[in-house]
Amino acid sequence: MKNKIAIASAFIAASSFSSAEIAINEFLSLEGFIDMSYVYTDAEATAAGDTASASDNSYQIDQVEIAFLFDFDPVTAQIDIQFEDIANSSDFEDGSDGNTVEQAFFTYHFSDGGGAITAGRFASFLGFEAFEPTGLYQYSFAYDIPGLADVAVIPFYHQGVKFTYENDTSFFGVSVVDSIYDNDDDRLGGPGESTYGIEAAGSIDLGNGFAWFLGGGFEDGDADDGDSFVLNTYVTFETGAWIFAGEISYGDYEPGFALVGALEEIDAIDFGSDEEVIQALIMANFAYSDQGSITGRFSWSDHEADSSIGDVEADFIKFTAAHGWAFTDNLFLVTEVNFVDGDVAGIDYEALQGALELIFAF
Amino acid sequence: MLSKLFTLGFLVAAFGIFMHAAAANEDEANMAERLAMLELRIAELEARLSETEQETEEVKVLATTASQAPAVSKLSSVAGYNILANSAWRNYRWTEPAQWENIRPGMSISEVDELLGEPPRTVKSLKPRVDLVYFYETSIRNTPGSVRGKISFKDGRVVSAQVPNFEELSSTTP
Repeated sequence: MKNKIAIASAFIAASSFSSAEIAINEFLSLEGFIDMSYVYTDAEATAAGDTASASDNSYQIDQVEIAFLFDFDPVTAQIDIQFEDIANSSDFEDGSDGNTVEQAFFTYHFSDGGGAITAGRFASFLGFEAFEPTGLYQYSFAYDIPGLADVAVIPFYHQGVKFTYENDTSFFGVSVVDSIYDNDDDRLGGPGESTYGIEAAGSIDLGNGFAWFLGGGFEDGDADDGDSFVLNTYVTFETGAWIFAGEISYGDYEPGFALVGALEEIDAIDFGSDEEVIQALIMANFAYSDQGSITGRFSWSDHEADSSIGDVEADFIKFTAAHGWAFTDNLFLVTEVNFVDGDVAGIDYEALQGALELIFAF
Repeated sequence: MLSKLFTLGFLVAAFGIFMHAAAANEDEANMAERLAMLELRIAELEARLSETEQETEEVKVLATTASQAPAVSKLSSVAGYNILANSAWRNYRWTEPAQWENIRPGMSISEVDELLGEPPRTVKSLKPRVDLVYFYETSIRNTPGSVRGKISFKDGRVVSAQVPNFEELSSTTP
């Protein structure tokens, strides 16, 4: 399993065409995956000596995705159609199903080098962890807090235009988008108050297995949502069967995270707005055979926000141990246990989660 | 006067000889240039002929292979041949055993593309020590007469290759 980036050349997939596909004809090919999981979560919140707890277990199809890849050299295009259970199984509330166009973009590739211009809806440059389960070393995301929410300050998908340049050892990209966090339903610019976002990122292969990434994003919100920004950097080191990674993110997430769906004690807390977030992770993955690998990850997330009851603070540390077994090139089983210890506005929060995930890719 | 005439005649003759020699050299240079161009042109034509012959042979191999599968009807056989013929863009170099002999661990993706052509199917592998797999196959299922090979890459380099069983294929071909 490969995260979104381990070496600079991995950006080829992000900035141009994906290479895994079934060729239908000269111009069209398909790729995709099916992701399903069984998850057990046990959470406990303690405030002023009173303890509340909840547990849940579920099996479901988490995500199904089919990507249509078009190649009309020098123009390529990609449309990702996705079915997803919107509420992650780590949440305790019922989810709702969604069929969405996750990505839809076309890219013009300049003939004289590695430059390309892309327009449409596409993924953020930022973040060490892949957005799709086929690119993760484990089941859960580093900043997904079981029973609460995914509190990652890294943006996901947005709409706009981007320029990318890459060669064998480096990558650079800059994008102008409607909103880096996709909080605004308006078109780029939008009526009334103007909104836009900018992302820029670069990475370089430092040699000897080291690669370094640095990127950031800024969002000019409208009258209701103020400005947001995020900075993200990570280093990866690959040697033999080992992969190591370390990441730090810092951002000001104007809308604030909503920690809902878990325990009432926490559900009631208003994180308001102007949320300042610091997040970090370290990860090690060891491929002990051609089919098996083990992963250990430590992640930390710290939040401070203005709310109606004054300043609110929260922090979480998450320990994750995962084992992956590839039956074939297409079929992968992930077993994971993660434990979260946190504090949300003075409420002690603990959660234990176990998961079995099966991924079929094509 | 006579000596002047003699000297002048000598100079004219020398100049004529020089011009003749220069013209001969120029002709020789032109000939050499034309010869080089002809040789280049012949090489280009030979390459095109070789490529055309190979593609023709590959389509024949595939057509023969397809004929080994149980024919549902005459129509399906004809349609199958047409599909194969119309799919020449896929570049069937990989159906030739000789093309696989030069595949080595450590080769780049572009080098494999050059030797075997682009594969009909690829997968971003979920195995930890493999990034990408090229599947060269006439059928996903292991049906009699099918040609199936695959090449695995890690960090853009070949780590393993499974060569199609051409011997088994030839034994099923009449």
